[in-house]
Amino acid sequence: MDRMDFIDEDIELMLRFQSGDEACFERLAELHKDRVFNMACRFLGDYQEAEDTTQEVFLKIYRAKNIYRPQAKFTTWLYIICKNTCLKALDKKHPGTVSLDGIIELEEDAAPMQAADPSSPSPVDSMVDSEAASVIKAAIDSLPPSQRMAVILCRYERLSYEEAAAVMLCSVKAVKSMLHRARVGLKEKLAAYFKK
Amino acid sequence: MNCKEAKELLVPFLEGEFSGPQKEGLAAHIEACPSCREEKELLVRSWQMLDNYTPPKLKDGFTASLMRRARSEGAATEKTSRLPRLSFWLAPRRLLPAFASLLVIATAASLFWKKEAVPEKQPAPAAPAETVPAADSTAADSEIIENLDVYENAEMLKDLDFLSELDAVEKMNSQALSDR
Repeated sequence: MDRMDFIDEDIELMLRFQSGDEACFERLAELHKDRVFNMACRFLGDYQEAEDTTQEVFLKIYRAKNIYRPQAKFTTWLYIICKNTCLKALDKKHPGTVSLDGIIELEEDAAPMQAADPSSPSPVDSMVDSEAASVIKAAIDSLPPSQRMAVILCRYERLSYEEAAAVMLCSVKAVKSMLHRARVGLKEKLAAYFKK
Repeated sequence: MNCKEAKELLVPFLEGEFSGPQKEGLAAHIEACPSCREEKELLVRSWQMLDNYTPPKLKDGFTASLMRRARSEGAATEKTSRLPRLSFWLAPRRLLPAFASLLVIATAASLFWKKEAVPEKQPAPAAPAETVPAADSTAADSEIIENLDVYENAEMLKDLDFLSELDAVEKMNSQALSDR
C-alpha cells in the first residue's frame, strides 16, 4: 500500500508525538477516548473495567512512541490494541474464555461474557436508563466474544467487513459468519421484547 | 425455494450480498410467505434496535488522569532504557547455552589433560619431605590452571541472579514491543 493512502491527521499527530510533542498524544487521546471507551464498554459491559481498559489502550500507545511506524490507518491500529486489551481484560475476568494470541475464538459455544441475568446487574446496568437499552445490553452480553466483537466493529463502529477482518485477524468470510450468527442470536433474544 | 432455505439466506439478503435472479427469487418468496416476512422484520428491527443502547459517558478528567500516569511511567522507563542492548546480549537464554558448551569443552579438555599427565605425577612420593608442601601447592595450582575455564565460568554463574533481572527488564521492553 502506498504510504500516502492512509496518512491522516491521527498519524501526523502520532509522528509529532514521536518527535517529542506530548501535546499531540494528549490530542490523540482526546480525539479517540470516547471511541475506545464505547467499544470497551460494549464489549466488557462494565463501566470501571471499560475505563481501565481505555486508559491501558492509550498507555500502550504512549509506550509504543519510539517503535511506532505508520503502516496502516491509525484507527485500525487503535482498534487492534483496543480489541487485544479487551480480550485480556475478559480473560482476566473469565480465564479460558478467549484466545489471547489476537485471534478471537470462533467456536459458536464460546462462553458469553456474563449471563443475561436481570437479577445481577453490572455497574453499567445502573446507568442504562431505558428498558430497551437494558434489554439490548443483556442481549449483546449474551453473545460469544467473537460475535460481540463483530457486532461492535461492524454495527457500532461502522467498519467494513475488510476493516473488521483486519482488526480481528481473521478472514472476511469469518467476519460475515460471526455477524450472521450474531444477528440471528440478537433477533431471538430481542423478539420477546417486540412481542410485549 | 422453501422457507428453511429462505430463512438461511435472510441475513446476507439484508446485508445486500445478493443480486440478479437470486435476489429477486428471495424477495418474491418473502413477499409471499408471512412466516419468512415476519422473520425478516424481526431481523431488521432487532438490528435497528441496537441504536438504543449508548454506553454512559466517560468521566471528566480522564485525559488529565491518563497524562499524569503516562508521564510518571515515561519517567520510570527513561531510567531503565539505558540497559536494553546490554540486557539483550546478557539475557540468560543467550548466555546459558554458551556457558554450558564451554563447561563441556573445558571438562573434556581437563580430563584428557589429566590422563596425559598421570605418569609425570608418579615420582612425587619419592621426593624429599621438605619439598612436599611445595609439591602440594604446585598440584593445587596446576589443577586450578587445568580447570581455569570451569573456575571462571563458576564465577560468572554466580551472577545469574543479576542476569535474570536483566532478562526481566528485557521482557518488559519486549512486551511493550509486542503490544503494537
